[in-house]
Amino acid sequence: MRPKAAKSRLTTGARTGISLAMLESGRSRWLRVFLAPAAALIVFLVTSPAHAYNWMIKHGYGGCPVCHADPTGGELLTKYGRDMGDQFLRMRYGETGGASESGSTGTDFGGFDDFDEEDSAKPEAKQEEEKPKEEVKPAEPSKFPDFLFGAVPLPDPLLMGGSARLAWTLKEGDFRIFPMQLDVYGQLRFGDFRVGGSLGVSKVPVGSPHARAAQLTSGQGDQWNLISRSHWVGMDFMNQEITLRLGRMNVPFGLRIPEHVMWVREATRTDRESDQQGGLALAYNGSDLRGEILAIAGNYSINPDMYRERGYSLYLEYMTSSRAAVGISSLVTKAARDRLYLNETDVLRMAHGAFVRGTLGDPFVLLVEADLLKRSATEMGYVGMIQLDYEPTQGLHFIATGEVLDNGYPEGGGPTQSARVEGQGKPKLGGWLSAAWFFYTHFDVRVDAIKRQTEPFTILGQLHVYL
Amino acid sequence: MKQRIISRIACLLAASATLLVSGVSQASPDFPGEIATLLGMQCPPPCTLCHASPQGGDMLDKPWVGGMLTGGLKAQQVATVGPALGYVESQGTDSDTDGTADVAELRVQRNPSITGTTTPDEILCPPQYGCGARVSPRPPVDGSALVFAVVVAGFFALRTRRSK
Repeated sequence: MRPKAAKSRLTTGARTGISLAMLESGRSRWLRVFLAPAAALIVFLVTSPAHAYNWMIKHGYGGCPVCHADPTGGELLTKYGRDMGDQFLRMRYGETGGASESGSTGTDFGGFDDFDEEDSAKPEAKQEEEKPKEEVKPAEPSKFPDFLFGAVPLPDPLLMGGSARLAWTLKEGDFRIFPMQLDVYGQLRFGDFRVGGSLGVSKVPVGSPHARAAQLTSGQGDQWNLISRSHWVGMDFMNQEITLRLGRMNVPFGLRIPEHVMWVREATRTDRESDQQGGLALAYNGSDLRGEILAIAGNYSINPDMYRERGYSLYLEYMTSSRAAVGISSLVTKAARDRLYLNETDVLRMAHGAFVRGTLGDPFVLLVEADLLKRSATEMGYVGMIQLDYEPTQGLHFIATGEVLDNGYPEGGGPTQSARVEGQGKPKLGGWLSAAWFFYTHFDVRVDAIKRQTEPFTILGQLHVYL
Repeated sequence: MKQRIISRIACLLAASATLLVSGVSQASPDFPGEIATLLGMQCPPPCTLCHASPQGGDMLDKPWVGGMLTGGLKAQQVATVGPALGYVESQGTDSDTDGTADVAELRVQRNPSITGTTTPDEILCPPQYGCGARVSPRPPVDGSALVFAVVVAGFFALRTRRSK
């Protein structure tokens, strides 16, 4: 068990040790013997055309709550997460990279070397320090990675952050530029109790499937709307190993990737863009096992009630080695009417699948996800992705992604007696070639070249500032 | 001191960039909104009026779309929607052979690809979004958003002042 003190430091930015002993525990052995091969089998045998990614794992960062306020990752960073972003994410331009200095050797989800240990691993450096020398003033740590570049100091219980993402697309000669994301995030903690959420604005065309489902304000046209992707109250138990939350949250399912239009997120309706649901969630973050289950009570930004889905969603992930993890996901919801396929009534929607993420040699990270899809009005479908991330030098990523999708053919052909087409009764393939450059603390640019069957070739560019 | 100045400048630049760039960017109206406006429909039709996927953007698998494409409909070019609808109307195309022309069906909120004999062919309005959502054709200023923005701005102003 991780010492209490160390656990309590997780969200305050201190580094934790690695409980290797956990891996040798009976529970872990059982899981290793049964869960990992089962998940691997599902991935590799049942869903062979499916495929994913998440490259922080190569630094031993398997878990989420050390760097993120959300126990299952995404959005708001802890103080420690900001420091690590500066150390491991961005290009260092000749400085000694954080990765080479302080990469974790951990085999757990906390997965960080204690910086005290790091010091002890450098006896020569320590001896140097012990030598009586003329007094050297220790360098003051940079405030630049902090909220608003350090311009607004925050008290310890308050975490704040934000994202401004400007995007442009080029599709069939049509160039568009638009604000993809303008959000602020926050979390306030009172002991084990915490309250968190996000606020932002969006402006999307009439009929767009994006952003609408997170609206607070009620503009139905293409005007600006205030949105909140998440807002919740939570309580931690067992030194933050367990977190119970009530509110609107990301749906725990599959790989929590940033590409919200990737088919594995879009088809399962589990993206972080606006697919969040209201409900009660229980998250567990153990040393080598983590997961979350959300009892879905519905999305109350969608009206009327007949369009709200209710049910559950969960994922469970097990760290099989210091830099690899396998997981399973499951989602079942019921709605009186489907909000996207409007003519479908009494809709039971299911998605079940597995995912893997792991390091293939130092600069390569592989992510794989495969899910089966089923709606009551369709035959069985599936969706999957495989993503390979290559980071030749810290801060610069080249990413290749393959996707496959079959949403399922309407039972009996459906009311329009549709033919079996790619994505609906037949496999539809897609490919992404991407480059991401984290050129400075808080800043990154990314370009994606996307080609999907039956869709025009698209180039997507993004400039992102994390506040 | 230098770090502090750089921090403040970077902060101001980022905030300015966000506000300025966001201000000039405009998303073009999408096809559903354009169709609804041109034909006086109660609400924009779902993407599945034409596409296989509810997100749109992929396979056009609905019978009535053929006439629109012949009429010059081009992806991403909203200006081609009107002429294409005009073409389909002028041809009197009746894709589902239910006796009512495609455009006439759309005008009365019916799906031109479904006969309506075995399955209702009403085009249902999509859900409304937002807390206490209502149909609101482009209000000049959303009051609740404005109040919230003022409160948030006040909070930050207060915090900045205190930190000084």
